[in-house]
Amino acid sequence: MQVRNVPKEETVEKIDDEMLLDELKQRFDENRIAVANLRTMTQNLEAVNEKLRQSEALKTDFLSNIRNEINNPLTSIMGLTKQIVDKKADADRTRDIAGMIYHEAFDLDFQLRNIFTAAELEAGETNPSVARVDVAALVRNQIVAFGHKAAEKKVSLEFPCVRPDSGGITFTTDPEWLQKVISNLLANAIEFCNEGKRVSLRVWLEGARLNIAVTDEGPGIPEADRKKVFDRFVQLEAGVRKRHKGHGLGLSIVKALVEMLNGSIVLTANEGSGCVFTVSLAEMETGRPVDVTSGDGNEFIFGEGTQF
Amino acid sequence: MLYNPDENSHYLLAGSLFVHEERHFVTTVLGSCVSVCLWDCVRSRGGINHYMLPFWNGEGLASPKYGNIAIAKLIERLQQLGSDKRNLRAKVFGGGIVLNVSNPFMNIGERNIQLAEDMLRSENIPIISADTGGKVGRKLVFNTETGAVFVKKLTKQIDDIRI
Repeated sequence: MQVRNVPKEETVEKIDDEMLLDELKQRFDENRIAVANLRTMTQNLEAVNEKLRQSEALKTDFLSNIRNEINNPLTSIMGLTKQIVDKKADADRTRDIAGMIYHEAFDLDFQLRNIFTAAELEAGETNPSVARVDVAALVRNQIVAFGHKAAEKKVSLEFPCVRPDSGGITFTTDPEWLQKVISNLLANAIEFCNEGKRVSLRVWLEGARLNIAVTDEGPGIPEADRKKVFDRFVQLEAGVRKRHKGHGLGLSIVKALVEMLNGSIVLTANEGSGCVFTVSLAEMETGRPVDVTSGDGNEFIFGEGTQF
Repeated sequence: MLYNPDENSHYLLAGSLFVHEERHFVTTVLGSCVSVCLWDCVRSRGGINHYMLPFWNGEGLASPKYGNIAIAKLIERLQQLGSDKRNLRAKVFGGGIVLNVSNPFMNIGERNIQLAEDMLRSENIPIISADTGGKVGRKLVFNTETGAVFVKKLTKQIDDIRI
């Protein structure tokens, strides 16, 4: 014991006042940093707490939305079909009814696909199947598919990006996911555009990236809410103020899909003059997703790695 | 184990997970992200996730991009395939330091590792091996049948690795 104490006593003697002050100062600084960190953490926790509380409320909203979003279209489809089945409609009327049934079914299909996509993404077992995609043709198909929705609101859809003779824009990505991204952005733009105004789409290549911008002439989104719109089940007008269709899943799906496709999405908006959603995607490798090192893992055969 | 690229193979994207009853070679690349490999030592099958952040804070979708969701989902999927939680063994990889941050709360890699350790402990799943932390990226191949994992440290600057 005594042997061990000797060096300790020596060090104690060597500490002068200055060193002691330095040490104290350092400890106080550390303490101050720790307190500041703790404060940041507490603030983060408060934010998460608030999010969770909202999330509970959203779940309730979702359940009550199901009635409007899914049951109502189904009821009208059944009502319309009944008219045909009961032979109450002549040929012209039947054609009109078929059109109405199609539109109701289209909405229903779109909503259900979004719910399934969200469920798949949350399960985390989706994987892109990459192919060469004719983007211009894909966008044009979506514009045709949503034509009736735009016509209902007297919104004009503009897609001026490619000349017919330029051979279109081809890009390597997952066609199904890209279609979901575009259809959701388009559906939202039409839904939130003011009546009689324009929704425009632009698609362009920039180096190895594909950019897609969807612009509407609607009320826009206040700065404070711009991050929130990408959360699930969020519509800025919820509960009794809810005026727009949908479950508030579209943008959360778009964001998740875009991120899985090595891309990003940016919302620029001026309150009062509409929104611009700009998606930027990196090209995927055919057959397998983008990898930062050599793809085939041969290096493991030659024993370069470590086994665990 | 010899890795054969022609056999069933799967490239695991960040934010997703993979579970299969048959032998698959799952490849993934990790920076500050963490992968938990779970292997059922009785049924000889396994699954792997690849998460980017420790906790879902209510933003976006509740996807396995977040550790607390990714680990719970991975266990759940294996249980759905008939695995008993008591037979599961874990291996943990990744969680490298991407940026030199003085604030320990901001070190994503470290927090990702901690979350894996905490969650696996509370689920009573033993971690039988691990290769985590450090200023390196990792490329790994996981054999879902034998549970063997090959890890190659990536010499590339870790900041360049997006995931």
